[in-house]
Amino acid sequence: MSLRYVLGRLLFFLVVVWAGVTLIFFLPRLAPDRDPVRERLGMMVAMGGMNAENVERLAQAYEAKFGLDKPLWQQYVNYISDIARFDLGYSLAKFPTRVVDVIAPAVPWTISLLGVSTLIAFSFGSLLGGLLAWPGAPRYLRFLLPPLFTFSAIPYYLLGLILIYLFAFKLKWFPLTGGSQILTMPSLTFGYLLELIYHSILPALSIVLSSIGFWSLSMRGMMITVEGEDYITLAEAKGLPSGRIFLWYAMRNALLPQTTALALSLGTVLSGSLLVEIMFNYPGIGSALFAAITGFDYFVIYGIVFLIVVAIALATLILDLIYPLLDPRIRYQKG
Amino acid sequence: MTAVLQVEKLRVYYHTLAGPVRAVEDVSFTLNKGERLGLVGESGSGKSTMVLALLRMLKSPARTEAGRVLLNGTDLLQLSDANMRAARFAQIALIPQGAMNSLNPVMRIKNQLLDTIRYHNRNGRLSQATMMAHIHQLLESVGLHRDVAEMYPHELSGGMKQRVCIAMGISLQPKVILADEPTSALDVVVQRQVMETLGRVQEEIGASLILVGHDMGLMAQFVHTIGVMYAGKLVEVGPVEDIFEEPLHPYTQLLIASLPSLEGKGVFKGIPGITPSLLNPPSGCTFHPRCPQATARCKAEIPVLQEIRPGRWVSCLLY
Amino acid sequence: MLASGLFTLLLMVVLWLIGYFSVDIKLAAPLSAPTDLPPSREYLLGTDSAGRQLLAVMIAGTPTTLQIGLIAGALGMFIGTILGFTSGYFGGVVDSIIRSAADVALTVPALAVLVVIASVINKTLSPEILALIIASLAWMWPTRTIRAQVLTMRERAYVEIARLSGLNNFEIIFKELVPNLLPYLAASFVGAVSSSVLAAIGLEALGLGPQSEPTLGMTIYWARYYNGLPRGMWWWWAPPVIIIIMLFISLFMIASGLDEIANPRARRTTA
Repeated sequence: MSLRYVLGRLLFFLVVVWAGVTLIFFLPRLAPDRDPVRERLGMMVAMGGMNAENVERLAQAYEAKFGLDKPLWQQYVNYISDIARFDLGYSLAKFPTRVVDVIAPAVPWTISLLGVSTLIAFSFGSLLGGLLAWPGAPRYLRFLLPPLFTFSAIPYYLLGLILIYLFAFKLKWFPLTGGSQILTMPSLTFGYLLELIYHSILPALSIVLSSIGFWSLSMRGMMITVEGEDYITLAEAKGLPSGRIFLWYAMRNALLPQTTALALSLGTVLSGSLLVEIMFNYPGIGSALFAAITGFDYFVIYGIVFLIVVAIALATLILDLIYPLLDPRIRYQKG
Repeated sequence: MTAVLQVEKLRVYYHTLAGPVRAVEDVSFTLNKGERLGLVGESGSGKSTMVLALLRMLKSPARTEAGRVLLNGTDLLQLSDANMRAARFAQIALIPQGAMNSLNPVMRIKNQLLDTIRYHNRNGRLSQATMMAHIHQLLESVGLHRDVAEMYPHELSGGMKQRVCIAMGISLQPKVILADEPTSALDVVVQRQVMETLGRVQEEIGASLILVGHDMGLMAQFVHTIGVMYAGKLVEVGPVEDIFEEPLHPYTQLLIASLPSLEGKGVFKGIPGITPSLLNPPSGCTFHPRCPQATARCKAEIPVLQEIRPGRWVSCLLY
Repeated sequence: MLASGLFTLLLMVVLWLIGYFSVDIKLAAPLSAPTDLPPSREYLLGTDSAGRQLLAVMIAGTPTTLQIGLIAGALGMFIGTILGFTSGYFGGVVDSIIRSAADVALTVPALAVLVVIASVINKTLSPEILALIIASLAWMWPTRTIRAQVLTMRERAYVEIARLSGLNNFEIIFKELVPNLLPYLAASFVGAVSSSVLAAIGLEALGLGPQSEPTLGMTIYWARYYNGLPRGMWWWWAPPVIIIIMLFISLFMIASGLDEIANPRARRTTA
């Protein structure tokens, strides 16, 4: 993998993060003659819901941090330097908790749910898609096509809603909400682990069912294209067994554009799973975002959005760096 | 001369919605040990279809309707799937057209060569070292450096890729090699090198070769026997020098006449008319609409390939 | 495939028309009926916790949701087509700039940006503004794919001939390229509408949609807000979900059908 390629992808990563961060900075300030944060502070004072002293402190911290009297570009520079140090400010709703402390506990939940679901959906979906396009595969698999089509058209979270109703409410097989039983203290026991898994089955299922349709249909399309290639013909002429041709000649090549499709759909996958979390009150980033939106906790919103942008950009970067490992044509480019 | 391959009345039809397209119609010929047979014909004459048919690699809607393909006495068309797979490349090998795309882009050359050897030698249990040595030797025999084994296909030039395909083709020392226009995508210089290589290794392993193509000049320099195909039928077979000196079938005559000569300048002579539809072939002799020597009889009667002289077969009512 | 998709969509339109003319939309407003009633003869789809008659809400809300999707999709396609053609046809620096911008914009997840924007504009959000916001993030994908298509078509023989016969660049684009790309553009458009509707509903389900008008996504939001789920009020959230699903499936089928027409190679039935 050439250095130029790696640097190029790193640069792209930085540009994306920068673009996202800048958007977060400027967009709120573009709102016609309003500063939502100030407005919020005003609201909090008016409602008297918060300790007046706290509000004062918050207002002061706000002024100090953002130095609203200073010119815009200087605010911007301060902002960038803060972000670089992961100083995302204070939560408005839960002052004096810092934004990072509000977000941090939620991250592992999301990563585990999203990671596992996507892994399962992608691998099974791709395998299924490949089999669907292979003449030698069992015919009964074709019956899976219509449900797959249907599922891939339904947004993740709506599927989640349906699943909740069917399996949690009506049949009471699974818990309605949450990541674990309320009032259970997290501990490293097997019992707790089981509980975790139990609570995450439905959310995971919504993601998996919906996206497996997408992955398998996409892989099927790639496989059909690959099957028309000359090297498959020659592999057959060599008398190689069907299974070997399927795996090492066909799937292996179809995997390349499929990986590209994965990289491009990361944003959608993440957004979808966040909404699923909200549906299930699963204590991940999604629910944190929802709570922040409902509570007008702007800094937390921005902090989460920042996290999302960085996460996607990072994942894209990783995939970009993995791709050459899969495709020797990119790896050993001559000049 | 021992016959290695005997094709008897091979018939391949494509079953389309409009009806059966007769891609290969009652083709019969014999291939002797060490012999090089060149199959020439226009595009659509059925040459490539026949190659696939010999390997039993036709995909629907194409189907072998009738005939026998006897390789050293065994009818390939009757073999079980497993046995046919075992026969591929071990008894009868393919060197494909377009080597550009015939190599798996994500596999190293050595693995693609190893593939063939390994899967035909399940019980052979050759050690890794033996197989690698064999591969290096194969590469060298086609004029490539042994380091090529470690490379990926995209790192090779067109000629090198074609030679890798040749190496794959001979790796199991098959009795028959089918070369489907192996050099059409290459420039003349490389073409010559590749053909030389092909000829040399073919002789070294004592195989017979069927070379499919439409470059008569190339055929003239390379093969022993020429078979002319037209509209799915073999219309003339004979030793290459004889055919060039005295083509018997009107189509062959026109073909040879159309070859530009270095000797004198003249007007380009083509063959009038277009390739006939294989769905609704003309009645009688399929060539009669374009044949300058056609008679009323040609429209009605179907000519049969017959040996009118020792070693010369023609399918024409003139004889 | 195309036919079934269009049929489903048409069916939905017909059903909706029937509803539109037989139900008073004003009943979709809060407090127009007693709250929390399950479906009955009088209130066909029941009522929600704010007293809205849900049948009326569905009838009023469906076109709104579709409208957002159509506006956003159309705008996004429009911008995307222009950028895609420019980038693909003219190449060079222009191409690099547009392509890089699109790539960066594609990587930044749309929902994230939408959340930021919507959370700020909250009060004054109308369906039209929501559509505009979504459109601003809908142009990237069409740009990219159209550019790819234009690149392959640019080198084809008929473009050469057109150029040789003296057509200027714009004429070539409009007379030669666009007609050939029509099915593909149509498929992209449907896809754009589909993803716009998805984004709109997503935002609404988060509570960031238009507060004043009923839409499908907001109905789902309110259902959760008032804990309609644990209370077993399936008539509240099920109808919007079903409508949405049907909408997506029909759009998906239409897009697949158009895609098959545009790309005959994919028209191969299963091997």
